[in-house]
Amino acid sequence: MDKIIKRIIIGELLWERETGEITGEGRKTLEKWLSESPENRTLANSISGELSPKINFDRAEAEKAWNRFSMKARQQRKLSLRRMIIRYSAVAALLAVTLGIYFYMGNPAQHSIVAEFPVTPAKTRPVLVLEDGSQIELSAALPANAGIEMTGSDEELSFTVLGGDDTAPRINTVIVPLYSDCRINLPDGTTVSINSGSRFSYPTRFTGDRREVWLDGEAFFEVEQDDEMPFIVHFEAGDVRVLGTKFNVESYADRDQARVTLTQGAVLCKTQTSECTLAPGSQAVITQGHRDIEVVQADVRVTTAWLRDQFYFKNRRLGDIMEELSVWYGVEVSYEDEGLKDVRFTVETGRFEDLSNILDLLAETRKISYRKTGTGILLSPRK
Amino acid sequence: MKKNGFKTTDHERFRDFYLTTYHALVGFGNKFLDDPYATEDIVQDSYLKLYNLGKEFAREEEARAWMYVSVRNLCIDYLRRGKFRGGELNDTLVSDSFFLDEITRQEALLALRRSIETLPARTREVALLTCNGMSNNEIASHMGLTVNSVKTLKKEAYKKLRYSLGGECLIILSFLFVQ
Repeated sequence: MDKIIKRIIIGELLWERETGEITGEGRKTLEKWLSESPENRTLANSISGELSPKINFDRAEAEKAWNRFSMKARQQRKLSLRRMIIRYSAVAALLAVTLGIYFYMGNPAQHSIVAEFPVTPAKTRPVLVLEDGSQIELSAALPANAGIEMTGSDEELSFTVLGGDDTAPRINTVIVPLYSDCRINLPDGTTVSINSGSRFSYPTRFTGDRREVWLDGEAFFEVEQDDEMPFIVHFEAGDVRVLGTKFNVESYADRDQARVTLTQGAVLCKTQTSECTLAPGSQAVITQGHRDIEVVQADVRVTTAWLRDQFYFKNRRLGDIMEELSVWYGVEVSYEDEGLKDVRFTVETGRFEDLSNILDLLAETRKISYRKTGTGILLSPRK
Repeated sequence: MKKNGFKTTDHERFRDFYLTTYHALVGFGNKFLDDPYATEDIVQDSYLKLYNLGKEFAREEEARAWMYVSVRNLCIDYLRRGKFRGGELNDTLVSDSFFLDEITRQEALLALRRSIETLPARTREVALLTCNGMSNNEIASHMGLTVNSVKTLKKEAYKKLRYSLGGECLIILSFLFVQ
């Protein structure tokens, strides 16, 4: 290990020698290493010859690799979490049987105390990351270098990019945590509503012949018409090009499908291998690993429910509904009968409401019943 | 550069670590495999292993060393399994000196890359566009700057990077000054 560390230091020193930034101490270390063998000298010379600014320093490529990496890491964690849940549910089942026997044996009137799970999500605040990496919580009091100011009430979380000065545009990023959403008004008049759990990057000013922004997550765009400067949204699986229209992009890095839904106007949706034009009310579905874009009819009310702070599940499998709810409310969901997952429901309710409200709605159908358990909730068929 | 401890469970730090070391490790692995796709998979697997270690390294260099060892071992395994059609596993590839020399090379390149990345954003962009062969006028219109400010930024880039004369660097220098 020490030998490797030593070479890591030598490598850095070789570059410092090249720039003249090398210190006395460093120079000594390097000279000593060079004098150790002729091979070291040969190596140092060959490396110096390679130190050209033309080496691969494409940060975007590293960022793309990082996105693939974090997706993989998250999938792994999900799998191991699932394994853990199975293990714990086995333990819980055993415990339940034991307790059952205990109570059956006629013990005094004691009730097991069930842990309460977090039921009402508290709204959190989005964060602005400036190009130099500094982070600022988005609130009414923002420093001048943020280049953005709050417009509207504190409750609305609506911000306007000032974009006034003539310095070169900087790329800023808004990180919207879980249980939050916010609206950004760009300098060209375009409005972007960003959903919970998303990252959105934009230039402080639009220059050149196009308006480009970047999204990981979900956002609704109301693009100001400008025929000279097309508006382009880049996301993991592709990009959307428009002149002026309204559309929703849902592209979370940890989900296998990305969706672009058009509510007004026309957009061109592109991936590396294919492209399609969308008409209002239609939705482009890009599935990971598939080359083609699938175009389906969409219910715009469903797609934009989050803009109204609502959950709107329309004829969806219980399994899918609960998967979304379990992420949102941070609870584990288990099923007494796996077949329940395929039962379909339509629910429309506020997403900042108590979880039990939704569960009560589902239970009212008399198809299921629910029970709070130590780690989450257990769904059972109604007998 | 951060010289203090490095916890693999610190997600933001890990991201930094990943982005600074990625090209170095791909370049390193590729010296063994000469196959960018296979190398990328191996590098990705090594990062996953490191991430899942949940370990705290006293210095970031130790984590880098760990990655070099992991990538090298996986590359050699890959060659042993004979999946590699373009070349063969020879004594040079498995030798310690080849391993250490490539680390030295990649670390020097990594330091260079980091110098470029720590340039102020506009200076960096000008330097990169220059490397891509754009003229002052092209850079000026691309970035919405005046030609004079492009020239100033170029000088700044040169001052910070101070490339030694020789080979390709000479060409870059001429781009920086002659124009």
